[in-house]
Amino acid sequence: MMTTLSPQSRAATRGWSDITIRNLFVIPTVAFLIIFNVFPLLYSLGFSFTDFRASSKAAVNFVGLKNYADILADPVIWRSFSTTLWYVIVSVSGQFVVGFGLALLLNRPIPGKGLLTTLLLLPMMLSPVVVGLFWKLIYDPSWGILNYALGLGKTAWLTDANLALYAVAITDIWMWSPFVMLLSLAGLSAVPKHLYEAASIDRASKLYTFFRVTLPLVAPILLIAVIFRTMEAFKTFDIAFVMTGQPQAELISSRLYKMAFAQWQTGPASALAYIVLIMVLCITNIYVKYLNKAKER
Amino acid sequence: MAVVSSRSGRLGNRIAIAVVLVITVIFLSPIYWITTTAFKPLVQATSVPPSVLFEPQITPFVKLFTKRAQLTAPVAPEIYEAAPWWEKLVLDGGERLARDGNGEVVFSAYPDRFINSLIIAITSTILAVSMGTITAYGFSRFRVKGEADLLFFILSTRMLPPIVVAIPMFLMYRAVGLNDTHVGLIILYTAFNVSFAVWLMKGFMDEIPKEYEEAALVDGYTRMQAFFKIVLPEAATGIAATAVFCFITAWNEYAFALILTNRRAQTAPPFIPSQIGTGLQDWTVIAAGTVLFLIPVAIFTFLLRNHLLRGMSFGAIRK
Amino acid sequence: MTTTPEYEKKQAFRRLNARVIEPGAMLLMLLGILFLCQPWVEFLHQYSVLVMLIGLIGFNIAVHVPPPDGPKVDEDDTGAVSVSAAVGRNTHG
Repeated sequence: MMTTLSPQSRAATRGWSDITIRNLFVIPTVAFLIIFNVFPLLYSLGFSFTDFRASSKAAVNFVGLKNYADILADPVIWRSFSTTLWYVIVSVSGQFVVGFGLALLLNRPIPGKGLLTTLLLLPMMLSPVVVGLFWKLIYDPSWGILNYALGLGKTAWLTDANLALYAVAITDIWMWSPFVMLLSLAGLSAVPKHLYEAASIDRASKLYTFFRVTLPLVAPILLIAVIFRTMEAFKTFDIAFVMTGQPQAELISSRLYKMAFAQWQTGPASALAYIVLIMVLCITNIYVKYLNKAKER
Repeated sequence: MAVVSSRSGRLGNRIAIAVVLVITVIFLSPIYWITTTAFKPLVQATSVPPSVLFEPQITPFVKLFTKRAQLTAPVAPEIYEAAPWWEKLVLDGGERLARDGNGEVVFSAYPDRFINSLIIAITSTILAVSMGTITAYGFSRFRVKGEADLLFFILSTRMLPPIVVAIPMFLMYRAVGLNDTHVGLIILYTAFNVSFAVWLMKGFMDEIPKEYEEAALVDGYTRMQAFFKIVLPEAATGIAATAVFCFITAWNEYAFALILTNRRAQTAPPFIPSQIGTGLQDWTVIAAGTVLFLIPVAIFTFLLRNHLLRGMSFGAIRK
Repeated sequence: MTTTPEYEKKQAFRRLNARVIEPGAMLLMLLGILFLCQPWVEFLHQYSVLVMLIGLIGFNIAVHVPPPDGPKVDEDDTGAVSVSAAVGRNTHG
């Protein structure tokens, strides 16, 4: 499948050989990524077994797996993980429902559809931290537009322990539903027309057509969208960090940030970083598996 | 759904279009709200009920770029008269502009941060796209040992949570003095974007027929000449789309910038929220800063609209 | 097609890998994430990292085992979605 060009022997006699060019093109980038991604991670893997504090000059002691054991026994961190999972569930299912729903509505001839889709896509291109900031303005309990528009009185969205997480999730849904919509639309528009025609000749009901024709064909792309958003939601930092300081709404990235850069527990923070890293790598592996599966079609 | 023939189908279609329009309006209202806030007089920005109708003014932008102080006494009329129009806007709001020893207006930190953002985003984009393009060509045209594993490795570096990487990076940068420097952030953003650029560009490279280069090689070009004269022009659209994606990512990035910079090289994303909580909050100024910051991204989104799908799916889905 | 006992053994292992080991490793990864984040059972939370790690390593070994010859195990191919191959022959999937 990956064949080199046929006149290679002649090309090799002029200028650099293909092998040289290949190495020149591929190796520097891979080396660059190893230096700036793999090496730092190995560096912090080392720290995760020590009681190192970046803020003090005290001697560094090797503590073995103690940091990992401590983290897994820490109720605050455990709660952060649970909060994160709940946040992921709420946020991703919200994005799925809104995004897929929008795609179904948009999957028909609509005048000005291109402009409409582009406008809908705008939120996901914006900086999450800036989005978080201006949603703060919208959520403001006394003069925010949301409470006024919905007649909710003085609901303190971001300072209420029970509401803060949902307020952040709503913002995330606003930002990322368009992403699910975009991928779903691509899937929907790829469903061959003749399948619908065949279904309508067979007098199949709309519901039946949807579940037996549309959904199976769109499922692979939907799955990719959902796994990708799940992975990103687990990593959420910017939005939540800017919007709320509620401990009940603390996501694992915010906890990690505080441990590493507010409390300067570099060693334990590195250990927690590794646990998060393993989790994200698990999802990445699953994501790439389905990404490649979809590509083979 | 695609076949609409019956009367009920047409009605359903109309309803669907109406619903889509309503949802679009709801989706855009937050952006509309922040944009209008940037043009509101201070009292109307936080008024209850929220003011929809107001006389737009650019005072927030003047305030955004300057350092101000509260007026303790009314300004003398002759000073007011002598002031340029933009200074009058600030004086009207009960504040005066801070001036240095030479009587020059003192700028706020915002322009510096904005320029930092521009320098860092543009430089890292150029680096990431150049590296990404040649690496993608290498993967696309030559047999590379363990290609799938290498590509997976490249992609997975993009998926790492920024905070996880930031902890060791902070320590390493501190050791070599790269904390709070432009170079430090540029390197990190390049590393972050190059994986994305490789994946996206590989799709574009695979689409360019190999026959083009073969013909060029037969015509006596060397492989390098063929790459620069035949392949690169063919890949121009892909390169442009990739560049815009990388720019937006670097422009929007927050976590690395928050941790690795604090003054000299700080970009706009960590700076804008840091204005909050410093005494009296002037939301119109924050909104003005936000709007200016969002303008480049909004423009790029329109330019990029046909490639969004492809970029968002790491080149997996072509459109 | 040659069917030496050795070949058969290899094929049997590859089939086992495709049907059991790879999906099993994936399940372990997912379970590990669930164990880590579930708020109820502390025991599961404490061993979740180990479960994820075993799943992750197992999965990465399993995807490097070539697929068995003959009819593909994965039959849900519909061939409708126009997605392309950015990775030529992948081992991750």
